[in-house]
Amino acid sequence: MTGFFAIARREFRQHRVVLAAAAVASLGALAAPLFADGNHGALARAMIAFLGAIVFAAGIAIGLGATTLAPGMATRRIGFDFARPLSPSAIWCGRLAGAMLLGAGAALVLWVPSSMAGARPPWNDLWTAPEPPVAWPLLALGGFAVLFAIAHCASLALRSRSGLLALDAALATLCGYLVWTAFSRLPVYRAEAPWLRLAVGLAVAAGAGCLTAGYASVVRGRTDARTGHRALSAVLWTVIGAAVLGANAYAAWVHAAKPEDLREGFWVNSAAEGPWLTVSGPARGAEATFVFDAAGGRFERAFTPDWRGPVLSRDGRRAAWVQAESEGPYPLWTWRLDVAGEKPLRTRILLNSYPYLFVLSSDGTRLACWDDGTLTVYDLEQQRALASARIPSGDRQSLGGTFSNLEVFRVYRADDRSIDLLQLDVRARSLATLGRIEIADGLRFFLADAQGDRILTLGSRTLDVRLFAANGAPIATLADAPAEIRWPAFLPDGRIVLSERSSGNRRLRVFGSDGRVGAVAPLPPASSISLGGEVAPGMLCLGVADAEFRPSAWLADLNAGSVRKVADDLRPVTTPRAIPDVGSEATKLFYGPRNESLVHFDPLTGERTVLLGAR
Amino acid sequence: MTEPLRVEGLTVRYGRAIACRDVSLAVAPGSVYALLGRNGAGKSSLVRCLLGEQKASSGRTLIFGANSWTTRREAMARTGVVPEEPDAPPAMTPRDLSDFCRRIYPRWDAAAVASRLERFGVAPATPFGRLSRGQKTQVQLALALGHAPELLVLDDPTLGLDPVARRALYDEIVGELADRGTTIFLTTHDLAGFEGIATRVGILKDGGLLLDEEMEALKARFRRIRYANRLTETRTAFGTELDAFEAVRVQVRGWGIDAIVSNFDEAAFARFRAIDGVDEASAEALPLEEIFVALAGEDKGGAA
Amino acid sequence: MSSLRIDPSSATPIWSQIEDGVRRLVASGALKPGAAVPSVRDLAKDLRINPATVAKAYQRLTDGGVLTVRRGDGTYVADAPPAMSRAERTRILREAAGRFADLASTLGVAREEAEDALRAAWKKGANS
Repeated sequence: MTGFFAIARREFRQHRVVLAAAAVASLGALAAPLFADGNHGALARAMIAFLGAIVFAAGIAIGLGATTLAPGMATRRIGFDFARPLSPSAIWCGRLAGAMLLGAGAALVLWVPSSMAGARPPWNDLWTAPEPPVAWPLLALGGFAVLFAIAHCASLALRSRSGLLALDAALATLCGYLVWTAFSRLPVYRAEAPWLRLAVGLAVAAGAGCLTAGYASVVRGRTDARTGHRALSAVLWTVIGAAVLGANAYAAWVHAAKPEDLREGFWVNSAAEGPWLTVSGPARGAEATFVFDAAGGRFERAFTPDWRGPVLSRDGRRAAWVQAESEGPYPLWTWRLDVAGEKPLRTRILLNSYPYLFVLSSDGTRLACWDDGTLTVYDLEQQRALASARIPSGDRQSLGGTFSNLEVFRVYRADDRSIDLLQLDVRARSLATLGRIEIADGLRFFLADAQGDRILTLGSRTLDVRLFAANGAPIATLADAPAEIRWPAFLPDGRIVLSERSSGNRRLRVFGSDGRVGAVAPLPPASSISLGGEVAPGMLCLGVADAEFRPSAWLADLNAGSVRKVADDLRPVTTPRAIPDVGSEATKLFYGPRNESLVHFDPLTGERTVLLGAR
Repeated sequence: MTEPLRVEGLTVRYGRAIACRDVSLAVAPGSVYALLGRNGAGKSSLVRCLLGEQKASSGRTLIFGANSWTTRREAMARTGVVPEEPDAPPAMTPRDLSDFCRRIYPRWDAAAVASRLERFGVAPATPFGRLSRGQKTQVQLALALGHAPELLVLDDPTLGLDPVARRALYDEIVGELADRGTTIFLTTHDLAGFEGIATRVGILKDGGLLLDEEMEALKARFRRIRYANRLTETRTAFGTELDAFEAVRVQVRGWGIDAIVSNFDEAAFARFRAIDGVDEASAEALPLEEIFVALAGEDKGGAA
Repeated sequence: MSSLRIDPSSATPIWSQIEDGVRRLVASGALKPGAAVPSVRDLAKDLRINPATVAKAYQRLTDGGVLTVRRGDGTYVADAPPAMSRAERTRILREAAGRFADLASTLGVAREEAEDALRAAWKKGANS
């Protein structure tokens, strides 16, 4: 260690003049307000002092790194240290430490006087600096060391006059290419954490590689530049090569996530029939979305540009999604789920982004997209657009739609008081207005049934629920008594289910598709209720969250008008806009405790299997 | 006691060029080994390998009984080195350098270094880079001796020195030998200067060790034999009379033959003198320089 | 001992030259009994030779009784140095005579002229 300190001290003393230069610059910074007035003066001082500190430190790192060892090795004037009882680490690290002291000294000489005069780091005013995991001073020292090492390696490689330089250039190009392949292997969207990990990992590996390569060049090269260069290249490309290969492996690993890798934060949408569903969540560091067969375990990953995932047809036989492979127009992919061994197909259809409306027909052969004012209906088998229409939409308007049949697509454009009912005839390529619904008191929510023949509205002020026909003609008012909470949903066969709490009375009410009053069942006290599907005719699943938001699954017997709890900690997967068919597999899908698993649970028999996630 | 230096089968290659070719030698403790060779014969490569600054292509060099490459650091604590090219940091003064060395050696006699510098007439506060060539060598010698090393390695120490500085160098070396019995390994072109000091001589030619011998023995067997050849009419050639000797170099002159032989002994010379036709034969000893030139020079005047 | 000169290129080993030289100086009276001789270190420096060589010569001279070492004091000529042996004297004389004769015949000088030169040199030497 004595050698290390002796060399550090020597290096520092040899180049002391740099501190004098820094002192001069520091005075310049302090004097800045004399030449610019007011706020500009203070900012100028801060900028000069701060940038000056950085420039001096970086300049010292590069200047000393390039000149402290490499020229000596190239001209055989480095023998002085090697003819003395000094270890290679003292020779290398001592010089680095001496340079670091100079760099830190110069930076402090520049920054501290101005800082005491009131200057603040510029980023307080200009932008917010991100919080690094390690304190800034340590990061600065590490950066300095890496700059020093890079300068030394570059200087040695150039001065050694060895043909190895050509090999270095070739390997650098190869590694650059492999870095590009690693990054391009990562999912383009929703993979920020892996991207950051890759970038930081590669940067750290490169820095560490340069430092160890510099050290190796001193240990093995000693007084000979050629040997030093050889050692440098060997260590550098081994470290960087390993890092780059590891980066590719990591990116491939992230890319190849499977549904089993989902651990928590599940988000599931299921088809109305059949065992297929889409499941999203964090997997291997990135957000992953899969089209997954809950019964057979088959899956494919869909790289969608945002959290909206693939859509499944009602019959559970087809999936479609927008695949984001890179920036720019995204291809549409489709997948026939009912044919074993069939792989997803990349269609010729290109979309500019994930459309606002993205609806599959119930058999999955037609797709309707609305984006930026244009509605287009595609034939997925022929992979071409069939019809399109301009449907402008204002800022405060929302759009929804559904296929009434394969040739007719119904569109709903709503604002907070009305709904326009439109219809696109695919064959005739014409857009017609079916009607209009006006809710004077304000519209909070509306819902159409699967074919768009019926529309439910929920008033915003009074929570009244009304039923309308496809052309906007009112059919019935299902509930208008005041209520604290009220929420309607369509069952697949057109019946309407309403959950409500009014004056302390919690109940579930069922209506016919024409609005006729049907069964009633009481509901347990809950902070929220979600509707599952009918496991068997008349047996409706409910998700109940208590006051502490703990979920449980209940079964409502609509015929008997009673409810009972069937499971703790589970809640049904389904959403109000796509309640599954009676008795389908989708009615038995539940989120497990804390959203950390996907569970297959039969409320009637109580059988439970964990499909994905925490067991 | 272990030999301070030993070279075993050393071969040093730079790409396709061979600097040292299977060189083996040993330096006994307390001896002074002078390694001679023409420029480019491979001396510097050998010295670098000895000091652990360069790795041999094959073979090995041992310093204090251990591999130079791996034990360089420990060996350098016991060794003083004066390189061919002065390599101390130019910005440091001799005082700074002595101070630096004081921190890194277990023992350092700063007073001795200071007195040596005074003896040499070197101002201790002048930056090293501004000293003359001779003064630089003197400073490096003072630094090399500051930790009382057991071994001193000098690579062409008199190169570029004026006669006064050279004399001072000889004085220091002889003084070290007398006071401490330091082992000395040196390479030099100043054969006359070190002739009396060196105890063993090695000659490198084209990377190979041509000769490795005690100085006394070497001197004893080399002679210059001059004689007038009356065997032939024209006296312009020589015949078989020199066959008893190993003639390293034979020159035919107007007055007779001038031959340098490497295996002289008195009895053989007496027989030579008795040969009919050999007149005015005389034999004289050679200075080291002449022996070196005869051995390491280009081969001329071959045997008939 | 300033007159002691050695020739590194001579056929005689240096230690032998030193030994012979000291013996001659003692025999001729230039070095008186009890006189100090230079230390090994100083003589080596003066002659620019390895101190070990000087040490070897001094050892032989000490063994031969020509010099004595006084502990802590240095090396001195012995109080009663042995006279040079007859045989030794004859050898040295004959060697020098042989060199003189070779030189004379090379110059093409007749014996009488050589003898004259010798007599003149002897006279001069005796007077100095």
